[in-house]
Amino acid sequence: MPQPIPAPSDEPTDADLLRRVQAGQVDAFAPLLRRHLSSLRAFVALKLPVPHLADEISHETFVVVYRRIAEFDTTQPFRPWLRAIAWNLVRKELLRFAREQVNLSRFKQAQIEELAQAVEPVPQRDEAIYLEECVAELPENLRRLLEERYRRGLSPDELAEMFGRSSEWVRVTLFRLRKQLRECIEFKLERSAHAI
Amino acid sequence: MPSEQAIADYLAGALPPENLEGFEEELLASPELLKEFVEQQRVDAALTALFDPEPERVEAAILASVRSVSDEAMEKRVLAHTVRARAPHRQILRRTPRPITVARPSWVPTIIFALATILVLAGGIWWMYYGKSGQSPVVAQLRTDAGARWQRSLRQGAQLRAGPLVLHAGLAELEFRNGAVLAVEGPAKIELASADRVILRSGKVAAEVPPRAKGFTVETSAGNVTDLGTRFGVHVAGNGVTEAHVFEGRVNVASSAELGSQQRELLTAMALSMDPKQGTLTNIKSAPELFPQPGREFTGLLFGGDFEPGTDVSTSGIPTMPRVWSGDLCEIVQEFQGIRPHSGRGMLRILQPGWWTTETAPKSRLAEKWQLVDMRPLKELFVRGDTVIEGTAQFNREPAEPGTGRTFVLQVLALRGNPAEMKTMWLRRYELALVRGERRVNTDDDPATWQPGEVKMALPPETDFLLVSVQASGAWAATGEKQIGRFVDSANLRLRIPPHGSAMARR
Repeated sequence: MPQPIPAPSDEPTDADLLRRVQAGQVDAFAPLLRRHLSSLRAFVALKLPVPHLADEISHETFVVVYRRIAEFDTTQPFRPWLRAIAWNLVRKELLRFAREQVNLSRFKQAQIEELAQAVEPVPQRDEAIYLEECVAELPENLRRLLEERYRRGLSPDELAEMFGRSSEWVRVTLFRLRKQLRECIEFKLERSAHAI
Repeated sequence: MPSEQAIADYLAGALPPENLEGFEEELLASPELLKEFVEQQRVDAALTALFDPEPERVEAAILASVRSVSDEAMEKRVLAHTVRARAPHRQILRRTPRPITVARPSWVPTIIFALATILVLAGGIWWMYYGKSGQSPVVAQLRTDAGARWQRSLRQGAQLRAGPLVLHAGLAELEFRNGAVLAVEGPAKIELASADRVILRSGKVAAEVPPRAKGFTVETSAGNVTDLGTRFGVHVAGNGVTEAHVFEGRVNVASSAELGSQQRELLTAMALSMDPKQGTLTNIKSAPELFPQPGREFTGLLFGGDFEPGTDVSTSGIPTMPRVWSGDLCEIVQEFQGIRPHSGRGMLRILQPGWWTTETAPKSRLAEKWQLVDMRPLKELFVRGDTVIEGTAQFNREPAEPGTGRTFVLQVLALRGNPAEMKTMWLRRYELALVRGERRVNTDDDPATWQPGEVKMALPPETDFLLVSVQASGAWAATGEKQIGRFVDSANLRLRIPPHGSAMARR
């Protein structure tokens, strides 16, 4: 799993890289992208859980960032700006879904309505940061289960064999793990809100 | 927890299809369960993104787009500078610090096409009207005006009537109505006599004559040079000495009466000097570098890009042989759910990511087909560094629910080395690419329309081969299940060599 967002002290900061890109050094964009891509993809996926759309929106976000790089104030943190651009694109996509509802099944419509309930004018919650933290806090065997499932793409039957359990156990455990991660994210979000 | 179990099974891809409807009904009946389902989907999608085994794939695609935007901006700056400075085309390209990768917004070709159509129609009406009104006829069009300085104001695209033209400096390309193309380097004085005849008073010209324009003639006071299927150059110096050089093919030279009305046939790499004052005809060494050259275009570099029935697309995996489509599961189809090929009788249907059948929905979102194009035999065509490679393809898909995926990609990478060793380079191909061009195309829901994709980039002289890929991204079903149709057709690769001035003009 891609790790820490903050740049180590010997690496250029986001602001350093952004200034270089603003000065026309397109190569400085690569480390910036590498640093933020994984968590941005998770952020978008949490808002709009359609994997390939999450990738397309993340892609588009960075292209928009590059096009508008001159507007960015490098004394401000980069991450909220990145999120705001991504969020606008997510909202646009959700609106497009809503417009095209005539083509959707009743079930899909209900799903979209449920997703759209979370639509807010600005992205107030950056759950992706906490998702990474929550995964890191899981016990070793459960983290491994996630790794094997999501990184290697193993099926429940293959996982069952690997862990010496039933396929049903794998499916239910994955369900509970996702639920646990959701609760962990909510808890951290609430705690950070109180801390402010 | 029967419904939670169903959610768990659904997300694990283990819910039997016959239970799907019941599952959806159950969720619709319970807002809490639906909420739980969506929350599970959210975390599931985020974990998929977070644990992506190949994040560099997404990263490379973004970087390619960013570079395209960067180069597009650079191209605009260069062009803006060009308009101000009126610099010759070759200098523009030389000033460009690195190869240009142009991925224009998809509306640009449409507008250019619309404008071109209007121009052609307007030109036709104008021709019909004025052509009958006693004025001299239009015989050619100014195709390229790379910093040319004319005696009278002329713009690129101008319709040229029979009559004299004086080019003070720069390079211009004239396309005659019969298809012959003439590069003129200033200073030069010419007179357009007809659609297949030009009189050269002084200066240098070079002609590229297609078979249909055979017989195209450059007249000079020392003699006439008539094409017999060829590329040739003619130079009339200030002292009247006239040279005819054949770069490729054959010409007939008929000297003037002062020079004895002699007939000479010149073949490739032959040249003749005619001196009216001395009354001599002398064979000399052909020197193409002393002449301007018209732009040239080569097509058909991609093999089987029309995806006609019989095209083999069954090769799987990493491509190692030029002229073979290789990659993920695809098939050639003639018509599919009302979608007809963009051209011809066949089109490529991209079936799924991977080259093996799958019992569950493939994890990867991207399915690709690649072809290697060996450029080593064509090296001499792009050693100058200003040759442009242009890839085009058409994309279409079956109407489907929103979110199923509507994005296609046309991508071209220029690489060094031996294409047969592609496997060893595969994982680092984006890093190793000398230049890459990429065009993302979002298809619409109308099966009757195809959406074009175009990639244009300057080809570095070091290029040994190209890796061309057509890609479809989206959600995919398992093998044997209903898969929406995603199609590619009319894929083509062109090499465009811009017109350029003589070596003397370049100095």
